[in-house]
Amino acid sequence: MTGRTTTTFVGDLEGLQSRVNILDRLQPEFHQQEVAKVFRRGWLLIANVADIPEPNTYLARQVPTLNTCLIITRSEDGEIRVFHNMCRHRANQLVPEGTGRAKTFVCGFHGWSYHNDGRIAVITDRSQFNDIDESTLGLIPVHAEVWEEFVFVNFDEEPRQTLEEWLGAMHVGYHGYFSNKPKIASHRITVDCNWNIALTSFTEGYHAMYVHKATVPDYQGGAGNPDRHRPYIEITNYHGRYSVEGNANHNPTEVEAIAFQRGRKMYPTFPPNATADLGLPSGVNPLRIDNWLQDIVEIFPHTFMIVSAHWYTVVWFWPLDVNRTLIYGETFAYEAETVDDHMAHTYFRTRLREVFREDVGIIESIHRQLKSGVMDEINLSQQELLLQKHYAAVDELVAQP
Amino acid sequence: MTALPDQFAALLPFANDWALTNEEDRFRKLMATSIDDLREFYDTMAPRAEEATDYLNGLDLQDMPEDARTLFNLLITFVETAHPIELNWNTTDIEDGFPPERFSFGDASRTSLI
Repeated sequence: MTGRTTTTFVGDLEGLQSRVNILDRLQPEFHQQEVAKVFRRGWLLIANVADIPEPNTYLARQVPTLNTCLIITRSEDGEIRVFHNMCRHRANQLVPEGTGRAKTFVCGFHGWSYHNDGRIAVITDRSQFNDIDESTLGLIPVHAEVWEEFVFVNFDEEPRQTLEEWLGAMHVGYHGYFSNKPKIASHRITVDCNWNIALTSFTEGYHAMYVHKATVPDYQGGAGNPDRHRPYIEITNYHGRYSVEGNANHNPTEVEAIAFQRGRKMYPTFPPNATADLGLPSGVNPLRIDNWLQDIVEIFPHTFMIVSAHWYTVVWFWPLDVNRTLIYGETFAYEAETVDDHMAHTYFRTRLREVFREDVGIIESIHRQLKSGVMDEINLSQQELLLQKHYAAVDELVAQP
Repeated sequence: MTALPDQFAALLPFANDWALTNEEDRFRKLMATSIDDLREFYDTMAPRAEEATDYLNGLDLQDMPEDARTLFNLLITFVETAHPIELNWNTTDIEDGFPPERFSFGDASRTSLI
């Protein structure tokens, strides 16, 4: 007899609330506190190093929540540094958003230029400036640290924690997993929805049976787990993750079968025994369950990842204000070498895209419903434990002086 | 003049419209196509997909003749637009999905894979 899937809960569940007040969080005053104490003080995942693979490459990326744009550079010495994308003369933006190659950044306004390690290179018509000191006019740096393949930034004057402390239990267990996976898709939308509501619509699996019935009807569940319980749910200092069990009796469509028979098995198919076969590190599928489909990992405050055998996705949620959020997702997968690999990649990225469009299709309506003020609290199940932790972490940081 | 390798000449009527080079173009084309027209494309491509893949696997992806590149783009467009047919949607756009006109694509989805 096979038992039904039960959930192993890991982490300090003390103080988590199954009833969470949402209405207060939709007030501008509360949101200002979130920006000041969560986004301005916490470590924020900003970029994947795949975007700056070699010396003298850079990525310019907006941080709309804090009204700035950053340049993430890899300079000649290979060092990754992060600066405000802003000329020290009159604050003009140096480079447009996106990736590029440059040893120096030249301002289009009056021609000042900077080395990609931040030092000022040229002040044009220098003799006409009476009282300036080049040594103080480098690009304005932002605290940055790298974890695995990801660059994090911290906008505090002095970070209150190291990135390692901030990541806590998440810091270990992923070594090497994210390497050698180039980007194969990127999507971007702006939604009329609070960032918390947008993010937390992705960080539970309870909705999948209902929201995704037209796109991935049978990839989870099955006889042993009809309610699609997560076999493993862990919460940490601020973050959370859970493992998703795949349905061993999933019926692939015709093209899905061709794509994943030829290329490697990707969503919504999954390769059995991948954890052992690929030697995945301990943070991936931490409970080492059979029929492992993927993990959902919230890296607080504003991102979550889907971590699977041959691919991973990162989705960012940047609040624009209390009612609007910029969302973008990037998907990375094993290096494609053959047409077979491209078949697998392209089938996967578009099936996943449609699932994503279902997720974001519902959140604006939820935001409007909550804004009505009719309901001030929501009720969360144990399967929605990551939401309980997300809101508890926001509240803990907002309560700080 | 669009061309395909000789053995795939029967797919030529679809090549002009469907041999697209990147995910965004394929998505926009899908949204602009009726489910019946998509089904016609699907039904023509599906029986030839394995054969086309085998043909292309014999070539150097980085240095393919133009007709093979067209076949590659046609094949990948087929793969990326198969979902409405295979999942039995009523239209090419998913019901209750985020509006396509507000959905945008970043660099990785706007450039060719090869």
